Amino acid sequence: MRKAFVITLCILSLAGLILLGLYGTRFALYLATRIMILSIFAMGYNILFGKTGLLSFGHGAFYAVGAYGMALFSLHINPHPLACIVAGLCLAFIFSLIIGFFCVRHTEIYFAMLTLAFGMMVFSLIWNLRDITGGDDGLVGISRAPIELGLFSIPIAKANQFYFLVVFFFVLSIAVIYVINNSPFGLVLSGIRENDRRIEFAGLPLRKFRLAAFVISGVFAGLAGSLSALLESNTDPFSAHWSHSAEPILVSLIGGIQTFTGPLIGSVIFVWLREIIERFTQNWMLWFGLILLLIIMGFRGGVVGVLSRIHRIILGSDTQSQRIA
Amino acid sequence: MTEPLMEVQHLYKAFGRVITAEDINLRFHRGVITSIIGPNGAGKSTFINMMTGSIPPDSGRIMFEGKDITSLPIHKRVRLGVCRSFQVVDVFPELTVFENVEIPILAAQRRAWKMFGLVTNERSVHEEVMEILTKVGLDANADLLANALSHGDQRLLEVAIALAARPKLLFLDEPTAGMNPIERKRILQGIRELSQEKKTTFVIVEHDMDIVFALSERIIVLHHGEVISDGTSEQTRTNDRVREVYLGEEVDL
Repeated sequence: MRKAFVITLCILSLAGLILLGLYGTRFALYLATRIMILSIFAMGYNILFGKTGLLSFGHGAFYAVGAYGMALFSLHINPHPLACIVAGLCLAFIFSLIIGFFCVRHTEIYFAMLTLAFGMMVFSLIWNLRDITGGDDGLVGISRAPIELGLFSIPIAKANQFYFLVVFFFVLSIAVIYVINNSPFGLVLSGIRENDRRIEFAGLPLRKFRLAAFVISGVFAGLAGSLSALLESNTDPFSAHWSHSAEPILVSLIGGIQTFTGPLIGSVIFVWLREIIERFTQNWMLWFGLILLLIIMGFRGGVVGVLSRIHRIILGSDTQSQRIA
Repeated sequence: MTEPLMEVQHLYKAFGRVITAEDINLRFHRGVITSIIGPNGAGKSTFINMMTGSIPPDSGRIMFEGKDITSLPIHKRVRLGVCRSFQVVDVFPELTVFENVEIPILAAQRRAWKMFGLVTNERSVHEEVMEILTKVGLDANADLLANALSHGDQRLLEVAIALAARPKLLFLDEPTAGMNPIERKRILQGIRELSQEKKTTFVIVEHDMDIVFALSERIIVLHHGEVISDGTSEQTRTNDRVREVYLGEEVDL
């Protein structure tokens, strides 16, 4: 019964995404693409934040590293989009491995401050290495070359074509993150959040697991970054800034950090609300802050957390639904 | 005499001027239920912490099955077979009872790194979890969250998590504190049965003298970091230094 409901919901959402791609306006497509990119960023980030219980203020850096890695590969080596994305992912992997190695030795506020420091180091590197990164201008003129797959090639230059590439990575990311969350490894990460000392007494190397969670979330940040570079055709140094690192945290909090779909729903609300508010006022941050305050104070456990609680009360169903949501 | 399971040589530890271990030399043999007792501040907790890796000794050596483990980190000692339970309940509060026990078993079966595959498909892990839960009598509560258990049941879970790591040598830090008499009986019976299976050797720190004398085949008495008595319950009862140490506390030995 529940399973059928979830499967139906998945199929309907996918159908909705495809219909939007076929008939949506350019602007709707652009917003949807941005929402999906932010979702990939936030859902990957939530493996570290909601699942493992580590608060990082530096994941904007891996987003930017993914974007710049992708852009540099595209401009200097080969514009094949898939190869460029892989290059972005590899660079994000290397950076998160090195930075994570130092950060996971500490927890709580020390961990958070270290990630912040490393994030700002990456930001200032991008800002200052003008010859490589273009400094404050970023890298411009990233082309959306067709994806050559031997016999045939898929064009992604138009907005609706590119949209489907993002849908592909979006669905793939959700599937991979779902499996990781519900794997034996995912259970160990939940254990780290609940009681890290006990993880060691279960015979598990705590730091290595923390590092793995850090790197996985870093790579998803890199994927989001490289897709955004393709979307905008340029890179933005401010994507490495700590204020951008706060986005997945906000999005996860809005949607619900202890839920699987929380960061996704949070991304929809975040991008959409911002778009609406920006139409009426220059001070979108002020209004957005107020609305955020209401959501975080009024919806304990995030929007998805509250909805699934209501759902459970109505149906009177078991504790399982909380976990699947 | 066979090779001891664990051997402690010239162990020394001081916190500032407080000496909590002074030249401790002990051997633990397979299958012998041992209790460590002593007044507060005798160094019992520090001793467990040094054995299991939370605190490094200032000097001395800890050998386990002939291997020097003095400087091994906690998780490697657990893998070799040295584990412990905690005096204050220290479980995974927001996970189910089942998942609490599942984590150490995933580690023992070397499945903890598996990322691509659902944990619900790990059949052999599930069987072992239910085996342990049945053994401690928590099988009916498998799907409850750990923090929804009664205090006594949480203590049982505490021991179950420690057992799930398949230890050869298990230190139990006041396993029956806060349990009611029925739960106490169950856990003691469980310890006896497991000890007879010879897979796990128990070393127990306990305050309750009834339990200590009923259960242990060997009693070690610590006082100010020193071993002042080491022998059977009869030898401990008649030991002059032990009587002297406990006299002030009016414990009926």
